[in-house]
Amino acid sequence: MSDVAVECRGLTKSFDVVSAVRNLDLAVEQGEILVLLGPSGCGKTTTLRLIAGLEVPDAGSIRIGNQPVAGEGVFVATEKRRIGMVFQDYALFPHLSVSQNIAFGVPQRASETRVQDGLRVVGLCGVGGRMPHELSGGQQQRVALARALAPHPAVLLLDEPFSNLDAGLRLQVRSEIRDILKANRLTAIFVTHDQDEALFMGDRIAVFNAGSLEQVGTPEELFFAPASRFVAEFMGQADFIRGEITEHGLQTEIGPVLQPVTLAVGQRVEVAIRADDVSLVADPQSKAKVLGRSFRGAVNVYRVRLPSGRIVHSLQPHTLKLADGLLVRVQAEPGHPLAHFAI
Amino acid sequence: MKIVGFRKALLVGFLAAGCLVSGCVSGAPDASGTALSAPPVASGEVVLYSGREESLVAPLLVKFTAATGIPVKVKYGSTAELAATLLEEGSRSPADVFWAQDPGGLGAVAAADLLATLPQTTLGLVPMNFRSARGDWVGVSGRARVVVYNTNKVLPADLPPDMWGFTEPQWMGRIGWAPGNGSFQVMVTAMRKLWGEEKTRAWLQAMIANDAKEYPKNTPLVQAVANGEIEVGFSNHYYLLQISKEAGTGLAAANYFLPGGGPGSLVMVAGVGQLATAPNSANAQRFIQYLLEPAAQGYFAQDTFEYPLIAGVEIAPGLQPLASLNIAALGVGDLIDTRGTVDLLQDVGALE
Amino acid sequence: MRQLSFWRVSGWRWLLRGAAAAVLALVLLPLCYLLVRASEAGPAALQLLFEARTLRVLARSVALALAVPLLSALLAVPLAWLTTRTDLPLRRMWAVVTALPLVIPSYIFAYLLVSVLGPRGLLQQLLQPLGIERLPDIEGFPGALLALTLLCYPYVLLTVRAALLSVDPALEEAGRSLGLSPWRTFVRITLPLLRPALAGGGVLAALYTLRDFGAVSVMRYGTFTRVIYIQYQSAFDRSGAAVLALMLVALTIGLQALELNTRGRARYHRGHAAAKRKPMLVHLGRWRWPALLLCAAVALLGVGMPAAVLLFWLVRGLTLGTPLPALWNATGNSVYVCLVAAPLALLGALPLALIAGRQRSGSGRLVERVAYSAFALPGIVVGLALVFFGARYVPAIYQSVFLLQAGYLILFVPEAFGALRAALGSVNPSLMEAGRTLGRAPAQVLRSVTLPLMRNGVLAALAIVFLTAMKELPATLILAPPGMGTLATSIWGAVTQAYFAAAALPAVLLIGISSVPLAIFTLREAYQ
Repeated sequence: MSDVAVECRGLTKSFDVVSAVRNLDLAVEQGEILVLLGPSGCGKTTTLRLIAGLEVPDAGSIRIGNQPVAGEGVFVATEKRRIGMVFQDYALFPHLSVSQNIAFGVPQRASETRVQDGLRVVGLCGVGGRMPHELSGGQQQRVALARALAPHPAVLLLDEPFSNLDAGLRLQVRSEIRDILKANRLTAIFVTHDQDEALFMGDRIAVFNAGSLEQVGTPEELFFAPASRFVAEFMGQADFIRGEITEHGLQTEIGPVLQPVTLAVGQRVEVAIRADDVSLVADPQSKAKVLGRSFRGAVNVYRVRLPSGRIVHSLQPHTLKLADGLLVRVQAEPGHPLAHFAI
Repeated sequence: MKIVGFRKALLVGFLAAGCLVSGCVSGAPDASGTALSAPPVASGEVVLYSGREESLVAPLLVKFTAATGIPVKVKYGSTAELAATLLEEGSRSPADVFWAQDPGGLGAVAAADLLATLPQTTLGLVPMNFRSARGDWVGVSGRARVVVYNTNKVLPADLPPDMWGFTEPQWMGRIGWAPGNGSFQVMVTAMRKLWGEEKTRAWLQAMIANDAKEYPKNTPLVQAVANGEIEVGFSNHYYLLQISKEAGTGLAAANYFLPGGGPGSLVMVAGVGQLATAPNSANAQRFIQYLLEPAAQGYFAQDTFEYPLIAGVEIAPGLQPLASLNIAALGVGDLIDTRGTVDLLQDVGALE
Repeated sequence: MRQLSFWRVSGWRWLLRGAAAAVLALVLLPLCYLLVRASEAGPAALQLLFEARTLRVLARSVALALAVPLLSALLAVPLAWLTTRTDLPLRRMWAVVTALPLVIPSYIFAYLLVSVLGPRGLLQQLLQPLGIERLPDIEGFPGALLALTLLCYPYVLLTVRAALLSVDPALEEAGRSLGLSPWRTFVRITLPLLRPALAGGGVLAALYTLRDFGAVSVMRYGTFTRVIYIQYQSAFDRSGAAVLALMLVALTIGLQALELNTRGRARYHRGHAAAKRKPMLVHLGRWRWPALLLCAAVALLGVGMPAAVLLFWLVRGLTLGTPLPALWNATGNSVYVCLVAAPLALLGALPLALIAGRQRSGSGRLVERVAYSAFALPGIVVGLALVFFGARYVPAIYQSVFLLQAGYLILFVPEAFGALRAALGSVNPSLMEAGRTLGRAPAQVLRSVTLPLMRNGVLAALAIVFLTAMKELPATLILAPPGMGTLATSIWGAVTQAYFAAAALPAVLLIGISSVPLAIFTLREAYQ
């Protein structure tokens, strides 16, 4: 209990008639980076803004560090919640210098040292006198982070902070920022629609779908044991094939998979299968056909059409060469239980 | 740096707003003391609502204060605006005296029973036909309706003896008028009284048929006659005198007093009334009395080129004496139905 | 403790709403007054509504209120572009001069226009040697259109220029990169981005046109203001005037519907905090000559002509020995009341702009419509409304400067509101949210983030209200305490008596004083 940094219970919020967040329960632990992941319009940004106090919930409650801040007959204003926020468009004050931006949320007497600390933490010593528009995108991003951190917030909220950065810079900045967050043991809630970013940044990930939570878990849990087809799909790189529950596992179009099962025998299911779970063997008798290959350096990813018309991908070492149109036998060799969902 | 400048600007603004608040203590630069004036109590002043212009009234007020020691607080405006203001104020008006450009404004205020009856000593100074029959206002200066003509284009001998003469087609395209002007409307009211509705309507339609050019008021009308834009215009006598005083000599225009009587030969008055609720009624009476004393009447005659209304005051050089004019036999009570006149003007299309 | 925090937030919100409601209530006073008076109207006054004459008045008012903004836009867009985006010679001077007609009172301007361009005006006298005996009449629609356009186009010019200065150059560069010529870039990208500014400025011009009395009366064009005045003047008919004025209010609301539609659903603030780059100036080359000609022609008609005629009157009066009035008091009074009126209108408009600018909801729109609905009311109506309420319910401030300031607040809040809303619209809302997340309360965010970012809009509002108040006449005549003359009333008094020299001096003073804040604002905005 004492380790919970942020807790939402039954959180609900609608705009006009559209319901943005429905009956949401969520907890973030101290020092944890929780990623809110989902497609656009799924309610993740609304959740963040509810936690920030920029929106008022219709129902439910929010606690930050055990203090109720919304619901339970209370509404604490944004500025009293001890949160820091990094905006998608950075929202640097264009009329203030970098130093003035960072000092904005800090009491006057502490501002000098905090600004210097902030600039050092984000590696921007010496640019304090510049105006925001004189900085590059990556620098602006880091100033936005320094500004949000300067008041020493209890929890840091980041709203798609990397979406305005180019790809190379994004990889660099996100690892820098993760290092900063971890080095300072900061609690952070991080909104993104990019599952790659989510897997990299998150200690845990909360996947949103249409205003509700689909699943909360570590990146590994989500990746290997998605709780729903939506999660499996959204975490990416999964193909789906038809199957049926047997006594010892699954019977699928590409053969049996032995694994523990919970559903009733005979239940028809969709099985999620990723490229690294699939092996290919040339077999003129097979009815599966190679459609194409994409070169990924050390590996090739083959696209194969099954007799049912479903498409699966297979990861193969670059030493194996299969021509387009070749008939292949497709086999599942996962080495871990495959996620499957009743239909 | 930019921010500092901006804050300064804001600061100046807020300081100014602060001045407003402190204004209740120190008073505005000019409206000294008025800023917090509660409903005025009888002090040593007189509050005047003047429908006549400042340039004309202010010098006289200086003389009044010098003569009587009573300071005057004056609110200038058009007669119509001030009449409407008095009607809205009703019995709560801070005004003592209403000085109107024409009888219409006084009539409207009198009709709402807002004016006090004046003492007979005051009323008796002015001929009957220049004051209210009820005795609640009195004329203080007169102006005659005239035809202003361009001396280069028109000979006095060619001008008709009365207003009806301008219905002749020979005046096509040569006439200017100002149907929105109060004095003009009083003349039309006189027409309705003397000629009847139908003949008045016929005259108006004939003017429109003769392509009378409309002017917003008398000043530009007289100016247009002087520079030959039109050849004759229906106006009051003193506009020409004022314009020629300022423009110097050589103005190609002259006044023509219609000799034939009738509605074109009208003398109208500007008048004053005392508010029934006047907080300083004694001063108000003194003021009205003053306007009818020889000093003030002489001022009207010599400085504003109007006709004095009391006996024995000399008129401006070049003016025909009031007694020599063939003045239409109408009382002021006959001239207050401007409503009917405006309806008629609007009906024939002379006025929107 | 927690409960307290809750009320702090609500407190701010209710403070804002309370302030807005108070201002709106004040702005609505004239409407209440009109309803009271109109309800006393007899059948005759009600018949007014259905008379053909009234329909003609309506048609004229609509025609003028549409034509003036349209023509203003045609003048303002090229002038705004030339003075912000090109290497036009003497750009700064033109920027100031082309905005100056805003400071000239309409009753003076129209009068001067007629005395110069009239059939036998000064122009004709200049052309006399060429055998030109008279010029065509400009009175009626053409004259009213010309006078009001020259007076009103600066409203559009100022908003469009502000918008041009804040358009992200990257958007235009994107247009060029997509293969559009500079001209087509302007038409397809810049112009649509100017849409809210054009609509905002256009509405101000249209409402000013509906409100103005001076120009339509001199040009004898029977719009609502003129017939309302005739009702008061000739018939002393307050009920008939009220019925007509209510029709004018209805017309105003209709016009606003047009403006709201043109603004559409797009968001116009810049996404990024970055990119306050200066756009590259267009090199005019040979085109600078026609460009200069346009600027000079507008400046000549709008500023040069009135200044020259006024100075001519003044000099003629001085040489003839006409005594000129001492104007220390009038000047002091004018400057004093307007220096107060400008920040007051700003303070009054701020809560309205904050509510209307940030809420997509119905209440935001309602605020906007109410704020504007009173803007087209003629000054005489506002004046009489305050006489009605002031004399009855607050006799303590009746006929004092306070009531005059209340009148100015009613008259000028919409102008300040327009400028502030435009400025607020261009502030990225996440900047204000960022301020909140950094521990600043809403009022502090307003002071340290929002207002500084709106500073050009704030200065514009201050300058525009100051100079409009300087030239306001009808309400000033009715509401100023006895004994308190202003420059505007001095001009009016002298002009009605044909004392041109006496009118010229206060007019020159008024124009000179009003020009200062406008010039400072213009230079600051464009070239800081």
